[in-house]
Amino acid sequence: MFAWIVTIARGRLQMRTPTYFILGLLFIFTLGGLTGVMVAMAPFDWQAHDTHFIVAHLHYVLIGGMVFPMFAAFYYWAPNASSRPLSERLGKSAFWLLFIGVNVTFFPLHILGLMGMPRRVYTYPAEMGWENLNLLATVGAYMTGLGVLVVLVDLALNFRPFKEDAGNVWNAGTLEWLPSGDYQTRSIPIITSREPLWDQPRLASDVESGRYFLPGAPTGGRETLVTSPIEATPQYLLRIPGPSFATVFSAFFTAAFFIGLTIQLYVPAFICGFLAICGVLVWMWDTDPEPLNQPVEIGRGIVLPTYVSGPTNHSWWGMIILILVAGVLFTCLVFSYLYLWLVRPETWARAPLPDLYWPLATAALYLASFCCLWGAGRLLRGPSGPRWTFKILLLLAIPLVIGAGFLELQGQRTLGLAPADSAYGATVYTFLSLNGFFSAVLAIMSLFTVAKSFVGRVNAVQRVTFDNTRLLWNYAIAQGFASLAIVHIFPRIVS
Amino acid sequence: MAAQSLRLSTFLFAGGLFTWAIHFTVLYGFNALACGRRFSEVSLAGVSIVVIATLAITFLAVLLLACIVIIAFAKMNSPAYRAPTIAFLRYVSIGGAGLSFVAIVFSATAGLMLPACL
Repeated sequence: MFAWIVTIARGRLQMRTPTYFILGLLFIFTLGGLTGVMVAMAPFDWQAHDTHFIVAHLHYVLIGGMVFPMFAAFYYWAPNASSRPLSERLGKSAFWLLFIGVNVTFFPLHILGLMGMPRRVYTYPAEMGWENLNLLATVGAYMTGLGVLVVLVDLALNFRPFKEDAGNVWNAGTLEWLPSGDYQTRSIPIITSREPLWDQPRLASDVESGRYFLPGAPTGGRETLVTSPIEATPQYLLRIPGPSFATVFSAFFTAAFFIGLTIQLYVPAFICGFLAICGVLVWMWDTDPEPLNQPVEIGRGIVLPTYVSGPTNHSWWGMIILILVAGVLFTCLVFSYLYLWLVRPETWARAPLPDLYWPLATAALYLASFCCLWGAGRLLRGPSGPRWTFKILLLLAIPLVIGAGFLELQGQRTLGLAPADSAYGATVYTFLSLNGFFSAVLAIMSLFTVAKSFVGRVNAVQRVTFDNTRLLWNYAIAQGFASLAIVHIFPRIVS
Repeated sequence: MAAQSLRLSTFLFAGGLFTWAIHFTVLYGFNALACGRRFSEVSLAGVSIVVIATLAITFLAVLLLACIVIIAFAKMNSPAYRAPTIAFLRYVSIGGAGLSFVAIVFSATAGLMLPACL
């Protein structure tokens, strides 16, 4: 809301079709918001719940919040995809039909709801006195339908994709209106403001004639620029894998995995999950490409490396963000543990703790797996490719980290703790499951790194695959230690 | 120099919001402990321990916010901090600290005025 207010207040509003739809959105969505405040009050909601008042509220929110902006977006960006913009005359007619139609349809439903008409009914007794308002709503519905028909006619008459697009018909200032063919922009521009096409008048022609970055492909493959996050200083040239079916394959089986879980087809779901992981591994095989010896010029005299590792690399940041997300998940779990311990003593029912040698043995295995990764990292420093000890250490780390999880599980099971025993049992087993999940992921990543090193794709320079594996490994060890502290040390301190 | 000023500005930019988050967590945690472990009735010189803790935590948080705002203002005139990105981050730092101040006072007011346990 604040973004809209400031955008409209700072600019000079042009009353074209997209603006109409945006103003319509503000009106309708605000009304839906106001009734939202009404139904948020329990005494009012007690009366309005399951009546047509709610139907009216929902449609004001959804049509205001989703349908009107969608039409606005369509009218605004159509010239970016079509050789002709859509018609202003038809667009405005459609807007008025839709705006009046939606209000005539849904406003009376508020009143009907307050008169007691329940939702989810298709008919009602004649003596209720609801006929006239329902008739009015029906007239509004036909009007809305007519509005959509006008949009469809406009599309049929004017929407012409697959040709050169109409271009910047609004004289807009933002980058999506740069001239582009099938290849996105011809060169990647340097911009200095929020509306670069207004503030840099020659920008469009300079981009089109390739005066900025990457007008060609210096390495001959698919590539893009990686820049610093705040000031966008070019840092290196990222080479991207070419077209592949692995992505489609992974996407399909990922979707099938989750849909399978939803409809409780667990065995097919896990087969699909396994195939999705295979697809991702095939896809990842071609990332982290072999470093080129020479840096390349990206334009304007700037020469950049084609391979970097460490904190400049984009995937290092990807891993850090993944770790942050995992950390938030783990913190929520710790919070649940503390909350249940403190506030729900009646369901907590803490069982006896395993003897201290169980967590100590678990910690020792974690530490040993950490040392394996640390040692492997040291072996990767030399100028020649990694020796066989590198692979051995990476393979050895897998049973160690899985063994740590297994020991922790055994420690709890020897005392007969089961997940369904109590809130305590459920929380402890959730810690175990989360750490077990991380162990499985680490095992896959470690095997993948070893497989890559067998074909000579992991060495002192080409080391991003190993670095990412080690980053997650270090996090998982830290999380494992934190779990041990909260499950074994914390109860001993507070009791 | 520029990289250093950028790093400090980024740190300040997040500082206010982090202070808010930590203040909220500590206040919430202390209140929950006081009720769950039944020491909310303890008082020092006639003042409840929950009130004392709330005031102390809030004082520290406001002090931290004041430091953030003072550093952001103090750096305003040095040339390395006049670059548009850094100037923007500085204004966001001050705005974030202001927003956090309102939120911290709001949480503390609830801690001071409402009974610690229901």
